Amino acid sequence: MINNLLSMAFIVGLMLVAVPPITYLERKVLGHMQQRPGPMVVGFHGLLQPLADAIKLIFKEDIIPKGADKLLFMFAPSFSIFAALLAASVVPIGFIQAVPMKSALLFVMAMSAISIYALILAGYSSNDKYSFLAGMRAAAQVLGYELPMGFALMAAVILYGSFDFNEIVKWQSQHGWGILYQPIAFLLFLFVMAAEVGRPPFDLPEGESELVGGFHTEYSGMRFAAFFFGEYINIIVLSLVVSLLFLGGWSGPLADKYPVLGVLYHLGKAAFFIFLTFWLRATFPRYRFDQMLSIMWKILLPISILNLFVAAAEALLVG
Amino acid sequence: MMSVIKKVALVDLLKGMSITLKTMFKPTVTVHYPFEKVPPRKRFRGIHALKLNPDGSYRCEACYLCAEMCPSNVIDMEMTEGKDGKKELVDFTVDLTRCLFCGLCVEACPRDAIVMTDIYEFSQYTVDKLILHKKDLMELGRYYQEWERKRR
Repeated sequence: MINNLLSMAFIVGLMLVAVPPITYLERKVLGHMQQRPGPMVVGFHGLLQPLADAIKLIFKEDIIPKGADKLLFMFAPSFSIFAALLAASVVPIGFIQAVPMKSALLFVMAMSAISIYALILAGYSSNDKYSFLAGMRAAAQVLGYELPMGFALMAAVILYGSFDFNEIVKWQSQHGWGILYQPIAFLLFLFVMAAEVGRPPFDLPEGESELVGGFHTEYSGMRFAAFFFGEYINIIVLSLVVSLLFLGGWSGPLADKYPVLGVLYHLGKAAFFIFLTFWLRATFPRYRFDQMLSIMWKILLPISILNLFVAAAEALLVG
Repeated sequence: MMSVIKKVALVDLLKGMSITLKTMFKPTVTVHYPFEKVPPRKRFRGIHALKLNPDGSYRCEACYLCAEMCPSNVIDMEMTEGKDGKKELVDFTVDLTRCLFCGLCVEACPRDAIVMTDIYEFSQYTVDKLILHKKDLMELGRYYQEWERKRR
């Protein structure tokens, strides 16, 4: 019980503490990929930039537009954080497990699917056509990517025979990493992950060039920041999940003897996927809306369904 | 057939990603502006100055050619008759709020009296500080001489 509470505190703390450095790293990585240094002024090489951002956001005026649905308008940003934190609470990092759950993977999927409600509510309640359009896009996008994502994960689940992350990692430490058996599911999941967290090249609900700021056009101050907290926590959670599902999680040399090493392995693998989201953002332009939907429905969905058969065959052969 | 294979293997996407990754380790090209400055070019047209003679007097003869030439009515001057019968400047104003830094006044000047310095940072908090008077312009003239000497 106490262990679980400590783990919970650790995970929530990790998520909240990790976000500011990640925003800093993102800006640095993006900058260097465009041959500019990123934040440089506040502190050594701009290290205190997240702090400066936080101070600025806290002291900004909180504006609620006329004609907005006040209750929903105030509720939407916190929803974004809460859904993300709920998803985070069941993801184990090495031996640190906040909520041991038999169907943890299902829960993570449900929570990250629910987090799209934050965008829809924000778009609906802002009384602004740009926000509204962004909310509608988010709704259509969630229909597009949830199916391939579900099928990609189901392929993995068929192979491992469990929704429990511990079982999944155990299976992988016996048989080898999941990416060797399910490269297609892995790639599909990476694609869909970008859409799930609303990152380029699938950042349609944000679409600065078309929709001003997307769903957060009317938000300012800490409410605005809350959306980004939610988004970044989602990125961390999904990165942890990918490394659990396909890269063996905390399994690795000497991880059985020293559990701390396992935590480091897991975080290191997740860090690569977080870097990958920055990398994708720096490289690819945004897909047009119809392109994105046709990719999801016409390409990824059939592939993911066919992949189920591959997974079933593998499960029969290996499992 | 090849194109299908390329598409399936995500060749173009990986190519693009390799380029961004390579760029990440290249040196940056940013000039950190308020701390680092790119020196203006030789013929840069910054704010005006009244060029000075070696003895410190201004060269302007109040012929009004620069004021006539100016497309946006920036230059205005006031003059009286001096002791030796020459025209003497009482005031020479350059209104930087309207100036477009075309340099026509410099072209027009027959005595090479009005010149342009390399100063481009001249923001002020109030508008009236942007209207340069004779005293400011002669101050700038001293700066210009210094700068010209360095340039040689």
